Amino acid sequence: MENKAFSLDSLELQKYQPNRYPFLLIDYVTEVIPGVSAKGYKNLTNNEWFFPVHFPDDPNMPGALQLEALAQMATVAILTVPGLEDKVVHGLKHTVRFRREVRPGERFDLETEIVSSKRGLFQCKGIGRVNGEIACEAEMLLSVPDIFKSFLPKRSNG
Amino acid sequence: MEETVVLKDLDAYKIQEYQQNRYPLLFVDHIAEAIPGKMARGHKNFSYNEWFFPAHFQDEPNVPGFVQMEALTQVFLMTFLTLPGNKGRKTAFVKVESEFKRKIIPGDRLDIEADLESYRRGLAKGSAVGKVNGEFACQAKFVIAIPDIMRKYRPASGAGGGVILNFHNGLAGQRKLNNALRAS
Repeated sequence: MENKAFSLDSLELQKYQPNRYPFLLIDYVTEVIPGVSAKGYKNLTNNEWFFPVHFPDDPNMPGALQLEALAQMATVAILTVPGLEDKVVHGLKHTVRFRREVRPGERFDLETEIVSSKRGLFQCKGIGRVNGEIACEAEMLLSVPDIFKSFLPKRSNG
Repeated sequence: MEETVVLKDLDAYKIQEYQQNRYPLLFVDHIAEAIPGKMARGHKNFSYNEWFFPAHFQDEPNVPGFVQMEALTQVFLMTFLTLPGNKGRKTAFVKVESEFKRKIIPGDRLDIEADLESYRRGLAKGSAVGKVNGEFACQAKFVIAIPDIMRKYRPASGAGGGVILNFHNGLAGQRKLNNALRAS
């Protein structure tokens, strides 16, 4: 299998990422190696729905959305694998550590890699940075239910 | 000796103290530097997570011209709303002349530099240039008013007290104008 790196713009990445506006939280995939890693970024701007409410006097990106951005980037690394384009990806378990606020006007650089992939379960690591400073780190367990289910033991009573 | 005031590093919250544009029509993210009465430098990030991208256009997301124009304008506002007595005032377009040279897509950052040519009696004239990755993207020339201040300098009319045309008042405004004309 070829593992060539390529990049995706905001339109192209929607082929591999089912989330849509206003919940598509990545703008550009600068480098993706299918099944291995995906890097890219999200631009933060005042003109986003969550800033006026989180918080009115101190706009910063909600932590749950930072995690979501990392998960969306990891999903691109998974769904670019030939044959997986149309699959659904679910999150099973995430552990995140937040270190710095992410504010409007900043660029949120996302770096994710697939640590292991077995039977439709993908263990991923992700780091979000702003100006080279680490903003959050996450360990994510993602699944492709279609594949995962085929490995589940059959129920004895049908 | 006059000391030059330089405002530096204004974030989203501080920008909103100076001007009244709010989400979803706030199109500037950061002001790196502003010299009141002279210039302002700032930027706007573009993200796919903005309301106009899914609609403009579905199969080719790019920044609408009016948004670029508004971003240029909002940096320009910081050149004169930072002057004493102007903080937080509302502004109104009088004239704009804009030019667009480059497609701007989600993920781009528009760096804007604005210069104030003159500011007198609530009327500001000047220009702004926008660049993406150092490449020229758009520019505009403006005449922008602060209506609250400009009104003070209007000559009083014969009707005593100065009639201000306000088309938003519809019929009431028209009646007021007719009365004024009749009286003069």
